[in-house]
Amino acid sequence: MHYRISGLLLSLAFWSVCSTLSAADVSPKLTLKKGDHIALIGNSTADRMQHDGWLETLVVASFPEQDLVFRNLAVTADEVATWHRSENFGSRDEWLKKVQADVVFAFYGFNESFKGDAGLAKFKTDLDAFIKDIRAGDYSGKGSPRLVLFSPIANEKINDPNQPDPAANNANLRKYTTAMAEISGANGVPMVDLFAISQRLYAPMARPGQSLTFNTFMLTEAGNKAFAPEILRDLFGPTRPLGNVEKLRSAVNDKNAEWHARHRTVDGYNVYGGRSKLTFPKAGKDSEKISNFDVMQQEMSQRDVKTANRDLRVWAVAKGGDRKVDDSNLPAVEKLQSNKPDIKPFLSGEEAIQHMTVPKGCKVTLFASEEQFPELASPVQMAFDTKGRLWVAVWPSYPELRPTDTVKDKLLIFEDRKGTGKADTMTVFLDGLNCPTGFQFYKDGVLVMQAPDLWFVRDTDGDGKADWKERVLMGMDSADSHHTANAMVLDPGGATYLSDGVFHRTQVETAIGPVRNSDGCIYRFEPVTGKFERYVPYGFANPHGRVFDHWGNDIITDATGNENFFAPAFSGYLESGKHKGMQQFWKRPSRPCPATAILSSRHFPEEFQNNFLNVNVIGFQGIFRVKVSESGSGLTGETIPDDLVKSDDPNFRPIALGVAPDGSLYFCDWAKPLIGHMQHHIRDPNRDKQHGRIYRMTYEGRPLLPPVKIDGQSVDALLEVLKTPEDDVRTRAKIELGKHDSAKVIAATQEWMASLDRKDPAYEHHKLEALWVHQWQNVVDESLLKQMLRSPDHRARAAATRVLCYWRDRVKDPLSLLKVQVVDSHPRVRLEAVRACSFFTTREAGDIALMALDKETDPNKPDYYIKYCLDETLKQLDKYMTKN
Amino acid sequence: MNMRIFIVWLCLLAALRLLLPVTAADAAGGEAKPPEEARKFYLPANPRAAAYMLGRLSNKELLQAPRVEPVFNALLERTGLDSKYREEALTGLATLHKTDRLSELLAALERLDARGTNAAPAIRDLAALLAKSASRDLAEKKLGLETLAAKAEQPLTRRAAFAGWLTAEGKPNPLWDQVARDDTKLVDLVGAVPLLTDAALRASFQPLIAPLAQRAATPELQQLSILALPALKGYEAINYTALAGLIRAGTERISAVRAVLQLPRSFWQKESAGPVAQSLVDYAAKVPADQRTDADFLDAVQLGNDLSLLLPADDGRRIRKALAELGVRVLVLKTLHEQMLYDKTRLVVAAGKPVEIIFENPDSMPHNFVITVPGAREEIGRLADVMMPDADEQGRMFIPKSTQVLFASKLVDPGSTLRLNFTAPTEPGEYSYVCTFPGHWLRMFGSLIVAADVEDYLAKNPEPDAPKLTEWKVADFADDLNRMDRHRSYSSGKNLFSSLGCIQCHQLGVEGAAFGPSLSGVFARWKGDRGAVLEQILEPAKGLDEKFRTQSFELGDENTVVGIVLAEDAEQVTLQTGPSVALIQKIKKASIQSRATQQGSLMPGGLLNLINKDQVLDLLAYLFAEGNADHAFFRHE
Repeated sequence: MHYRISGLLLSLAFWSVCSTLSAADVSPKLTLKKGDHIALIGNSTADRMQHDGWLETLVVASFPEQDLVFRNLAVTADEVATWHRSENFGSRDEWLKKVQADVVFAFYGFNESFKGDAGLAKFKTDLDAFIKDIRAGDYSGKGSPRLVLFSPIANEKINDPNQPDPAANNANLRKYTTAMAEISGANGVPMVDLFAISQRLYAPMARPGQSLTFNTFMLTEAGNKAFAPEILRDLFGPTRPLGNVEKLRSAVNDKNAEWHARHRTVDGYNVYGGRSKLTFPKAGKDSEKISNFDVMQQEMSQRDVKTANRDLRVWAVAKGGDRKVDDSNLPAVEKLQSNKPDIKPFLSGEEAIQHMTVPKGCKVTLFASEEQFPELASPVQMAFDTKGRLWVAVWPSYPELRPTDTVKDKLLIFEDRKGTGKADTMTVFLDGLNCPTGFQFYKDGVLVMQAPDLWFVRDTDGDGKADWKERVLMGMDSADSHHTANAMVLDPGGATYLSDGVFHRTQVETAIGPVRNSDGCIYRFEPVTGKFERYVPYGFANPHGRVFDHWGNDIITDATGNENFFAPAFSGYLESGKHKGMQQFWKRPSRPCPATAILSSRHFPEEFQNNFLNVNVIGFQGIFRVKVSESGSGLTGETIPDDLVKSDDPNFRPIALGVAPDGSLYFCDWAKPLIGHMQHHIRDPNRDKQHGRIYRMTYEGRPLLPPVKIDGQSVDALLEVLKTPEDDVRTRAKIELGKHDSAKVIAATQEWMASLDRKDPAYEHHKLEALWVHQWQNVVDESLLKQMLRSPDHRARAAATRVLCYWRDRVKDPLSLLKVQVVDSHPRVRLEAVRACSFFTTREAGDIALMALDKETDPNKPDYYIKYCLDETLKQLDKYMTKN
Repeated sequence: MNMRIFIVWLCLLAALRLLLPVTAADAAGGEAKPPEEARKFYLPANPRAAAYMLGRLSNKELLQAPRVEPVFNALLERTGLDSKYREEALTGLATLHKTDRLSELLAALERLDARGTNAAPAIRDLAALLAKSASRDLAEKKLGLETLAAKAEQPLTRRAAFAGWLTAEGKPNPLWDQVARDDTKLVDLVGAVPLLTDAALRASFQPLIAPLAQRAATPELQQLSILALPALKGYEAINYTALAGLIRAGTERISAVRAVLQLPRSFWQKESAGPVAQSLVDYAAKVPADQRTDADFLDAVQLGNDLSLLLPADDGRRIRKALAELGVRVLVLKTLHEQMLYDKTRLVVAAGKPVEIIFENPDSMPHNFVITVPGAREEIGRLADVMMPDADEQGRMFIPKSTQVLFASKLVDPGSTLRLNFTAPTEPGEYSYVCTFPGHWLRMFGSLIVAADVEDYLAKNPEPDAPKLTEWKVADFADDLNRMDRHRSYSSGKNLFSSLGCIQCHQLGVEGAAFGPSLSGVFARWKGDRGAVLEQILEPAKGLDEKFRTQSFELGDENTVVGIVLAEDAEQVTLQTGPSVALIQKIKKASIQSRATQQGSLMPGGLLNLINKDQVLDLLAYLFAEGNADHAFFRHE
């Protein structure tokens, strides 16, 4: 069958051919030889091509006899002179050598462009050095590689008020494209002007309000489909891709997925980095030792062979035939014995309850276990959706998938349709995952962490299974898989947070420039706007726990030491580096802690209300209860001696927990005899892959809460839900509001606010929720903000100050507002104001932050968090303070 | 803030607006560095904010700051600044306020006094400045001194004030008589005497203080009197006798010990040295083992040792030996961050003797330190694995109740240090120390060697973690190289080949990397000369093949790159700078300013310094056998 393109694309291609034919130089820029290896390097434009496969498919289809080998080495946010990778990943040259590149496609200039005019000279120098460097290389053993430069694409003006206007950066991108043309011309290197191509392709899409990117700068699958024929023609002149293109693209994508799993393997620190050198006895005590590296590199060799096996199929399909992929030729991977042979037998899910001690009145029952649902193996994260269903990410492959694993990690949905308190239905929403360390609901879908990317996944046909996905963030490192971005919570204003641990080299491309970080950090991501920034860069080991309280204060937990921090004090802006060490808000009795929650449920008695819950998996295996109270500008915690759960079953490892719509508390048991990443070989055979439990805790004698209807409710009904005391219920209402038209939501919110009873003791909180709805919808209401900044409740004033911080670019004279907040009568408000100052770039902001000192009764003994935050704020503002 | 300071502030603010930001070069009269290098300063108008901003500067930065009031205050109040800056600040403030140096000094002492004990180092500096002031000037400030002596919160401030007051008076009385009946004031007055700069004035206190050193109303007064004695010039001999008597009698012994240590050695008396030293030995023997690292004990031992030098050789040696045996072996043990390891795999202690381990935990999780009897580490580790995290009666967690546990610490939190005191087992042997936090025992442990004679043990078993390594010479192996062909350990040789890093640069059979010369057939190349092969390892640079000689390249950007030249063409040099593909560098010839061939080798010497003779032989055997486990050298009949 001949290659046929869709009507739209055909007309597009035709249009662009017509419009450029007269001026275009049609002689090929590149000639391919049989067996050429083509390596792609550079930014997200190249990185995303491996997932859609369009360009590669068209090239292979155009040269079916050449048996071409494509290897994508691009990493989102790469610049021509950066190489931000985890330890011992390998250099650019090493990787080009590994893939024996004959041809190099280099995509640079996008991330560089944010430096504007000031960065142009360096870009040219770097690019020139790069060209000479690549040409001096011989990666294939056949001499200098053929290099093709690809300019950045233009940012697209898309029909979404939440996305930035691309005009400003397009002016830069145009300059960087011109610079690239100049340097490539001087060096005689061919260049593809993607900037021009993109401008040509965007225009006809814009007329009917469609787009080829989803966030102005990342091409969708349709975008790649539109670009591919243009690039093809620019490189080779008129060609004629032959054969069954969809079938070929599926073979290409299958091969690329295998290569992606190899090149971007998760757990790199244990596969090639520092901890890969850990050795363990191969066959019991005193036997010869084998390192993680030894075994994991054997697995990497398997992935190399699997990729090569798939090249064979690509070539066969390109030639019009087909070939079954045969992986029977994989090299062996060494087996080893456990260094912990004396594991205790598993109790059944029911038996394990007998080993739990709980406070009087509390009762634990089994909601689900692997006995009934074999897919429930190694649950790691959980959350209730707007329909009241329990979603659980399972990670049986922990620490990560083997190349030969057939059972993959999943996102499951549990339902208790009969209302018996036990799961009766389970659906596999998403299969084929590897280390699903975090997920969170967004609009009508779910954001799923799938390193190195964050996916937005939806079920568009309502069959309960995922059928649509987009990579909305790329470049989250997972050098140590167990602290890959996790603990995704939503703040009351709709931003979500990703907790990332030590050893990582995360770099993410955003519409306003790349964000890079070394080691641990909490990131803040607004899915509505695509804004992504470092929230708390800190010397974390494995930050796992993450909660927001009733008033929007957050507590961050570093799992390894179970260190719990009052986060407003150390989440100010820091351009580079990390925040200094900060005190803990609670003297924890034990560690480590994989998850936290706040018990916000009237089903439980008063003394349980808003307890901070902190789970622990070694030594103390259970859930601590912590009483939280205000202290100065912060919060302080106090252990309640009556632990919520305490088990003496050595395999009990509580790992995730949350309040259900009926007010009961659910918690997942990872259920493992051995859990350490470091104490045992990555492939210790006693790493259990079968067990997992979900328990439910109720309080006897107190009624369950009637679940609040959220799914499918009207905007007005959802706004009423915001009066519910339970934090998670209000969050779900705002998630549901996210599905509705913003203008309607805002109009209704204004009416709802006007209708609120001023005498209601929760009046200030309800109004704060209205402000948060505005933030969630990304609509600024300055008058409401100003009211809340001067609310009679200091907690509302503090929360509004936080909103002001994130609206600072859209509020008139934000600093004059902060000048009032910073001398507020309550230290919590002053703290938020000092924090907000760190986001500005003027001396005035520093002067305002310093005003907080005037409110200290003894300047020699200032409030701890205010002093800490002021130190950090001035660290950031110092350069603006001393500027003439 | 009183009105005067407020007005000064207003004036200053006006000045600041004009002055700031200014550069250090401006402040120094434009003479120092070129302006672009100078640090820029910004001082807010608000006094609290200004003080805060200055608080963020290092001492070095502060010295560069423009001289305005808050800067002068900081120069006076900071810890660790030279007295010339204090004087500069006093003069500066006096000019600004139109006052005098002493008024500013007293005001600064008052401010610091209110700041609590953290300010002690700065108060000490200012006290010295006060005592150095002329008595005529001090006389004018008697009222202020009197107030400060009476009202200051910190003893050091009060004593400084008394010292100034005494200097103004020029003689002990009538002040002494005035305060003699008030014990607390008398304490401050006696404490002020050593601060006096006038030696004659100090000496005039001898008849007043000497009796108090023998007998006083409170221990504090007696201690301060004893400590004041060395400051009384001209009375050293008589005071030495008195102090020696106190030591022998055990009256305020530690104060007397410290006072004697302050006295010039020329006044120490040979005749009494023996009994005094012996009394210190007797005292030391009674100090509980866990207090033998305290300053009191250490000072007493120091004086005993110093006095022993005055004694006939044998007597002196006897005293020193006795004190040495009472001393505690102090070892530092740390954890390694994110590695779940101790920094040492072996600790050596003397059988039956007290030990102190300073256990530092810079890791991000808690660890403990548990000593088990030989061979019991694993059993104790497994028992601890299944324990509940309930503290025992000593507040310790994960410590199995077992006779196999000889000593156990509490969990030491991240970033904390704990001093662990225990007495080593009396039975010599190889005990274990281990972290019993569940799961950690698998990795985190070491050998506690209990030796009858530590020095002897260490001499025979060079300590792997000690900085003193064995710098092996080929000659050391003259009688050993023939032991290479029998009963060698294959696994030891193989492990050393990788753990010493050989494998990172050299190929042996199929193992290793081909950066350095291949080691396959290395013995054949040296015609079977074992000494020659060993010498190559010990002294890699000797007889190095030209091809592997390193060259150094000075580059235009002030970098020097050293490595082995892998390739070179007209445009560039490809260099191997270390044992990894990542360490291959390409240098453009245009950027090379100079190049030189070095005598050294990229291979470090001393690779064998950490291992013992048998391990060296195991490694040589492994190289000889080219990694073949079945080689005859490894056979054990």
